[in-house]
Amino acid sequence: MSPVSLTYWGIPGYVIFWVLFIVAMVLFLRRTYKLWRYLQLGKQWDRFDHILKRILTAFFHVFKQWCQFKTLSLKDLSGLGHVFMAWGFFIFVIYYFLFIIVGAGFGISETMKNSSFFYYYSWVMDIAAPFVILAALWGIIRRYIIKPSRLRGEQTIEALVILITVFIHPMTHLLKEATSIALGHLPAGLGSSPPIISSALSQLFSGNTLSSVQSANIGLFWAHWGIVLFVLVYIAYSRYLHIIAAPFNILLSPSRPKGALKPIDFVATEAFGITNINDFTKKQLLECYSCVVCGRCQDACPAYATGKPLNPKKVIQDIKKHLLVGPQLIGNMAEASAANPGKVLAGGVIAEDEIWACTTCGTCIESCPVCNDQIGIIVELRRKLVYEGRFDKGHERTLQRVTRDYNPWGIRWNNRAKNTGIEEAKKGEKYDCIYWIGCVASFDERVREVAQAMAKILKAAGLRFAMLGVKEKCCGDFVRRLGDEGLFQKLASENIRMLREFDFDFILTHCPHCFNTIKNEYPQFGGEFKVVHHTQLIHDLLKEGKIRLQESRQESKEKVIYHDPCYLGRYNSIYQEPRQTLKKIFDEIIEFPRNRNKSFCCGAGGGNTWKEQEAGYKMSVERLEEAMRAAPQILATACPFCFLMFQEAIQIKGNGDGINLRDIAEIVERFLY
Amino acid sequence: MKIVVCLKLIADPDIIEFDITTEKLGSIYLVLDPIDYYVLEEGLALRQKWGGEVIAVGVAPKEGDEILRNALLYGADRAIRLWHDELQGADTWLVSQVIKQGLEKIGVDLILCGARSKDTGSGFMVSALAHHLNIASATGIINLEVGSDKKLIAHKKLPRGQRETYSLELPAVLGIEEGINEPRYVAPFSKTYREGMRKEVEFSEASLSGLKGKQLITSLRFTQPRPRVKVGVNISALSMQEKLKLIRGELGREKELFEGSPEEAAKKVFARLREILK
Repeated sequence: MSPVSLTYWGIPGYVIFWVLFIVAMVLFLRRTYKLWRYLQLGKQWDRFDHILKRILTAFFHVFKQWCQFKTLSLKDLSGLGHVFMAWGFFIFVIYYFLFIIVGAGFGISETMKNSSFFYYYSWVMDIAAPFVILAALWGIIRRYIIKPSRLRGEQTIEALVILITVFIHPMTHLLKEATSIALGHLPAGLGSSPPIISSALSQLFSGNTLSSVQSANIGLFWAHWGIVLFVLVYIAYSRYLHIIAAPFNILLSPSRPKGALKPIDFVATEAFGITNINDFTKKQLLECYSCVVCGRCQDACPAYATGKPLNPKKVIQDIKKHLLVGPQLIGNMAEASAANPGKVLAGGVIAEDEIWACTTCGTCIESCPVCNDQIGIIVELRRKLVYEGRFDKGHERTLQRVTRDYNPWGIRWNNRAKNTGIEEAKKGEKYDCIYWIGCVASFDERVREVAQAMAKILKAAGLRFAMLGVKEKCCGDFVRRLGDEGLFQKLASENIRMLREFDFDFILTHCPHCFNTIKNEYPQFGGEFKVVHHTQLIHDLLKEGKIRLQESRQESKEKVIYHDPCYLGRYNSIYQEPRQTLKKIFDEIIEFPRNRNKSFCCGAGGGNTWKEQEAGYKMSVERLEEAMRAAPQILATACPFCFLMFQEAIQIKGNGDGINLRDIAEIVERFLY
Repeated sequence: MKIVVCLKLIADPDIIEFDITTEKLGSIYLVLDPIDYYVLEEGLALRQKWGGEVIAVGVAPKEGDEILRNALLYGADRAIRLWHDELQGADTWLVSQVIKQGLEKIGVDLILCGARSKDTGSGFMVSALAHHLNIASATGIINLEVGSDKKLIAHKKLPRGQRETYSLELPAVLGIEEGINEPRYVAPFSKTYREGMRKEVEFSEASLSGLKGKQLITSLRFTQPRPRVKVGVNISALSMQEKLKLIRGELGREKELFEGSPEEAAKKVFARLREILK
């Protein structure tokens, strides 16, 4: 007899069961509705294109627990615990839904119970339970005893309550089943042997009297159901909320290419950027609900790691706190803003220092299990500062220089790409590729050698190529990331109009920022061009035999370490080509401990190259130290900004133990046959 | 306080295409004189501190509308272009009178202009304006404060970091020095920019009959530097004597005169170079 069929103080168990359920449901729905109302404070949703693809992506992301596996490593197995907890949750929730809500609710539970499906399912729950218990136990030990840096300050009551419910719930299930077995109840469903673990546990009750086991069974039944209902309510009152919010958050992720920011329509909108809660999109507010304060973004953030005021986790959490207080504040936004002039988000929430410290490297987004877009928020906050005319001094001067001379250095525009020795493109001629030189190689003598090396490779391959000379303007990558969308769109449309005048198959560039912007962002303004990064081209030319490398090389014995640029790797998934090229030349390639999509930013992105230096120390120095620990002879890069940053870092570190800094094009050119 | 900032449209001297053979100017790029960014910023900063109106004024053909519009977008309250077609190539003396004409209807407290322009660089405009308007003037101003009862405290930049401080009574005209401030940046479509988009540049045709005196200076020609040959030196290979010559700037200087027609002379130059470089 299931405990629910008994009578308690004259009330049938079924009544108590359903009353408790309804009460929990009401509490849950009320709070969820309130949270939904808060979401409505934001602007449009706007992402329901390709709805089927979105649903499937979100479904697999969640059920495959890709959210955890994408950051799982031998050094950080914490995600594995969540995998067990999540799968355990799915398994039990399906059970509750099928057999209790649907089955009992519609009175078909008897039919459902008499099935081999139910039998096998009870075995599944039985075996899943210990995994969940161990995961929860490990979670408690890790958070409250070991206290890793990522969870610094997160030893909260809320987290403890959650972990304890996860710990106790499967225990009550196992013990409840164990007492049922000890009472001689038949196994669930059509099958012969009761589930293995509960059976083993039932031995614990062999010495007890029948009535005490019956009491235990009843107690455990109601304890189990009580915890289930408590969790149901707590979902709406704690970070458990991510269970509902995160799948939708993933479903609503941008379908733009990763490296493309959202454009501003200056005709349609007067003001831009985020001033207060109403300026967020609803999806961005949903990100606050999805965030579980896991701290992976904080751990990964290069700005945070080098002592800058930025912490992406704090940005999301500050917005969430502000949102949940929001409705009361709306009437006082103006006063709150006047009282906190240094802080954006009326109400004084996020400081300007934090907003300007970001290099837009993308590690926060990459490591976030619920697919939050921290950079999207930071850029919108920057847009607001730009709208109000509030800048970091270094950034302000740089934007002026770009306005007047189309490059961030402020060197007169008629000096662009002088002395590269590369032919200038002429209208009416047909080229295989236009070599986009970019602002660094155009004006920096050392990096110009990278372009010259690449030009030699192109010649050797027999490609017909030319550069644009003074017609080329800054691609506008960092301008856009600083929040100056107006100047960016001006540069983009001028570059696009100019490019259309020439006849070529593809645009070649050695700069991942130009690569990303022209490839992924210029299409937003009608500039659809085929864009190739020089590491891709070199790889293809070698593969097709259009260029050959010398056979024997003394230098093959040298140890080379390769640094993945943020805008080539994380944003455009180009990891293999540079490595395969290097492997053709060197016997040994060393990897940074933080490599590929976990690569640590050199510190140049997002306009940070020109920021007035303030707190902390340089990211390039941090990264160089990471390289030096492996004692390589050569540090290989594929980005001119990384090149500049490492040049500076080597000077700061005093020669960096004789490490040689080389771009991949220079390395290949040296060994051209 | 009514603050007039004078903006000059110049042909960018860094970016001039000049044909050596025909001695003719090719493309020129008309830009705002770089010093005027500081002038405009000083006007806007003063308005922020003491209130009033910033009026940008320029004597230029219709190409000058762009720099005046930019002044509006950066926050100027009004922008006025003054011109007459016969003013093409007019010198400072005449232009200053045109400005005086334009300002007569406005009633001005303070006029700011660049201490010297990047093209002609005579530095004369400040004095000329002061003369025509019969007001106080000072030039080379590196710092500016407005004291009580409409007195101006101006700090003049002297060589080697010295400063002289003046007190002037308004109305006055000041020649602003580069580096007096840090010009602000106004992003396209930002708040100030949008406000500027709603304004228009005003045009007022100059009346030539009011102008006194004739053009005193006319531009004859503009020449670019002759191509210079640079000699690469391997310092470690130099003898002590040669190093001393290098320090005194005497190393590698040889003067030879090659006579003949251009083709003959060129052949001789090449032959000599081949000898030297062998």
